[in-house]
Amino acid sequence: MSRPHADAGQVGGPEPDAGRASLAGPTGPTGPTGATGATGATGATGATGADSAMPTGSITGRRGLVRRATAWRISRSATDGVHGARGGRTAGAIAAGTAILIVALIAGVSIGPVSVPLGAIADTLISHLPWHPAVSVQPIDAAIIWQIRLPRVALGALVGAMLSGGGAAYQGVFRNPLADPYLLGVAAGAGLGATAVIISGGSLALLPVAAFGGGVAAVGLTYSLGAARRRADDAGPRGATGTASILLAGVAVAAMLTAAQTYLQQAHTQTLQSVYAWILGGLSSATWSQAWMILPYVLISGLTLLAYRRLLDVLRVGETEAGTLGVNVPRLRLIVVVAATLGVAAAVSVSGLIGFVGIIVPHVVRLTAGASYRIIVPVSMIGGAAFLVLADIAARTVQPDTEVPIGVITAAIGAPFFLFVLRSRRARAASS
Amino acid sequence: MTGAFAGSSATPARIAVDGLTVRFGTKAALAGVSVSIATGEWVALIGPNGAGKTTLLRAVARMTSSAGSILLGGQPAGRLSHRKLARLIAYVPQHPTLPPEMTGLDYVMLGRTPHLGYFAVESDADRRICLDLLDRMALTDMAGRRLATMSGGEAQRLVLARALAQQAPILLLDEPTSALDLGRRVDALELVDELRTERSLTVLSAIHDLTLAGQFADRLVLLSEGRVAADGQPAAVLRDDLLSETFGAGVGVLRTANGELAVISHRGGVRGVGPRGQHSQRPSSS
Repeated sequence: MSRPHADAGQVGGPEPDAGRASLAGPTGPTGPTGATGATGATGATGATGADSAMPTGSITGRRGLVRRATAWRISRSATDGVHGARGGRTAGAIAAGTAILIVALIAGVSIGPVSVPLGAIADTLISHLPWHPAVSVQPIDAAIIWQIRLPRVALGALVGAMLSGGGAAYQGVFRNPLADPYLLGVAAGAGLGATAVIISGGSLALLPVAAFGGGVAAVGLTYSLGAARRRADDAGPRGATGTASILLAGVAVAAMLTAAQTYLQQAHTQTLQSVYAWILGGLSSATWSQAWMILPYVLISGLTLLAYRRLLDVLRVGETEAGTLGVNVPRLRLIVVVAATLGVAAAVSVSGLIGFVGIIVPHVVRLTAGASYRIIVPVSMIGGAAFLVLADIAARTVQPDTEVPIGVITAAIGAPFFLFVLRSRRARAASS
Repeated sequence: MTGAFAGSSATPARIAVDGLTVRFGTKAALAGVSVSIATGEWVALIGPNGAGKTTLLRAVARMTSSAGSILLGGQPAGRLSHRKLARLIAYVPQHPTLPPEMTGLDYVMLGRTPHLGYFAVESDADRRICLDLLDRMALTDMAGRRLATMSGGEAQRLVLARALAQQAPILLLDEPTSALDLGRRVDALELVDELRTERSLTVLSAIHDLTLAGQFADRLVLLSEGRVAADGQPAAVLRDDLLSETFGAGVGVLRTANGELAVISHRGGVRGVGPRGQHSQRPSSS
């Protein structure tokens, strides 16, 4: 009893109210409660508050009362059929996501200024198989499909899967519903790297390399600064959490690098347009070589995150308790961060800073398919791929002459859709 | 189900703590504590707030870095991996985190973590162990229910079920009953007692309620300001002089007609002006 709330105390001891507000959030934001708690505070404070408050969720005392009050509200939604057997739920969610993804891929290839028939798509694909049967396809259709549309759709799917999967993993490992894949500074670092190449007039081939390097270096800096803090306030091999200090270091590093990037950007007005276009992100320059370039990173990262999805579920009871269950939490966190960073940095290096995908897709999955990371991680990857491919179709078709930045589309379509899911779930909960 | 625990019951589960010191900054939360708990024994840690009860539990579970020696079944605790430690010790925290969306069965299955490979998923055998435990805890209908819908008593038994799913021979309980009313407290401690007999568990627990501690534990260790003030049979530790010294004046021991010891607090009066013993029970509670 000498340290009644040791977990909470580590980052300065949140007020009971903070603990109450975010109680439902990290472990499974059940709509209104979790979301309110998370967004009650802003920026760095929000991240810290939510994180430090999590372990204090308890079955006792004042919080117990609050928990039961929350519980009552949640229990009314228990009949909506979402919480059946987990195995069947996972398979169902993966099947549904895959079906949506297939539709999105086909639509992505066939829709555009020149619309191509589905038969031509099939024939073009067949013509690239080894020992393929003889097919006849218009050369112009084949070129559009194979040289322009397919690489763009493939790249969009890879980037979308990586951003969403990375966001889901970050939300799990930092137990923070506000986490997105850019949390630890990967976007700021990549932006600075890309800006440096553009203003120096370097070869465009260097752009992805610089962005990737900048992103990875930024996360490395964040992690070493945050982890150094963790050693200083050592609470023992299992007690140490250090999550809050890593998140705060991420906020600081991102702010620092963004300041440098903005300064460079504004100091070189002649390249302002191209820097700005890169920062906004997009898939308009997609090529097969870009897709092949990031594929290994996406594969390694994605498979690693999938392999650790069960342990992310163990982490839902908090870092300290996960430690007593035999999980080496600092190692788990490091592996997940390294894997997510490599994949996200690779995605960002070819697509720029596409926002919103990495935070909203995991939450839609959580609200519709279930709060277990065994569902959230794989289904977020599939759903993120589908979402970005669909968003890209809109980006290149809503205006006849120019493309709309894809980040505008992801937010303009994604935010209302997310709010719709949030509201309809709450309405269902209230009426059942 | 008993077959599944045969392995753990054969494991020697002696806890030997020697010269244990834990510092938080400059303050020593524990200063040279030595305690030994035999396999199958239930030892309760008692003492006022801040005496070091939780710190001692956390140190034994390697959740706090410490100086001194901790042997678990003869092995130095510091050399054990997270997984090995979790197969040897199950720790029930005072304020467990209960993810509201998780089902009862999924929660108990978390206890199988130290037995699963990092990338493995639970087998049918793991599921069976956990369903049997839910059955044992009278929580069968909780398997598919979400934690958000459970009462305090149900949650308490569920957390205990998760700990038992670890199949560890040592059970550490930090104030296991602080959330429960008196009737549920007795039920919960009876359950722990039955389980330790069934499974030959070594139990080390911090218990605020001195009367209950004396009724259930084989031995009491009274901690005061990070040191062992007394260690022995309940009758030897629950004495007016010892308790007044550590808890302040106003705490006294009554012997009931059937020989049980009840620790009570006196309000003001001849016992002096010490703080009201918020941790002791009124006479009617025994």
